[in-house]
Amino acid sequence: MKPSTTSGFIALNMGNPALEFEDFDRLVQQYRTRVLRFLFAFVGDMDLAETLTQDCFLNAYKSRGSFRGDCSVHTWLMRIAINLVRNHTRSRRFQFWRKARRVDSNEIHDWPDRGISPEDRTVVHEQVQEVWEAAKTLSEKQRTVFLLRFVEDLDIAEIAQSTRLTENAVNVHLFRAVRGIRKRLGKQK
Amino acid sequence: MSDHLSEDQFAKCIVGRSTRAELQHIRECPECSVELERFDKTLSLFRTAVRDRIDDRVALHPPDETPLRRREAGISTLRWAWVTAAIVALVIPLFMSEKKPQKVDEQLSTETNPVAIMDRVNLHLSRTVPAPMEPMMSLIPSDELISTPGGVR
Repeated sequence: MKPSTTSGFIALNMGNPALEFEDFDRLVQQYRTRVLRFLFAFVGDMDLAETLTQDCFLNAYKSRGSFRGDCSVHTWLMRIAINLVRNHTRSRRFQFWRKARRVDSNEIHDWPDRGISPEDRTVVHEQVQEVWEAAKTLSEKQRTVFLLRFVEDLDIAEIAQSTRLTENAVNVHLFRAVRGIRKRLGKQK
Repeated sequence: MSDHLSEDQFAKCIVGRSTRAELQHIRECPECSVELERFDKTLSLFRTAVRDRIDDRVALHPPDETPLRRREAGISTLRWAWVTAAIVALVIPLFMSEKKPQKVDEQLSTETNPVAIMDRVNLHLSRTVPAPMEPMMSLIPSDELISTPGGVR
């Protein structure tokens, strides 16, 4: 039941975070996919997610001196990504929603098939679309913790560090998000 | 435990915060177990779909413009800014030096003015000592200066 946590990245470089920033290109290669994945899942627009990912690493490079090593580099990057996406959705809220709605339908047809049968593919597409649509109805915080948990597989402590919320608050938002998604999926059945 | 899991209990189970009693109920209640499994599978499909989508994207579009390259672009912009500033710093003195002849022209124009020339002549004639010696006069205490016919004693 519990999603397996694949984020064992906390450990190795925590001893000396400066080592990670020494070769910034390598750091980008190491974390780009995770940051892009979260941002894409949040905004639903690949081009916008790419742009925000670039901005995320650019901001990280500029403020690398302020990284104190009290969390993993990945958590720190996710914090920057969350701030970026928050600023974006707040400053260009209407454009964002309009664009997101237009792009979603295109993006959803681009889901990889991975060799499944056409029938199964249709079912999978429908289910993915339903979760996608349901996630869009969540509040910003609920959607953030939901995606960090169920797309990024972060544990509660890591989500709390990334979002600057307490673990209790993360749990509350997560429960509400799951309830909201389930309610929404139930309505569509 | 009531008949089935409540919404909150269901959410706790999905998040992995279920209690022993809730886990026990899931083991014993086929309906809750199936519902939980179905929802968990849906979330897994969503996660897999997003991950596969991004993996394909990253494979097809490797980062051809990393932030470091953008940073390099930023540095070249900074270089251009420095070059522009240097050019401005070189050009401004040129303009300043072009203004000096204008001042000379103004001086010449005053010297061609008869009234101005007469003023300068009167000033020259009213001096007690020649103009080049005026700075030296400031070195002599004022009480030692006695104006007598014949000049300074």
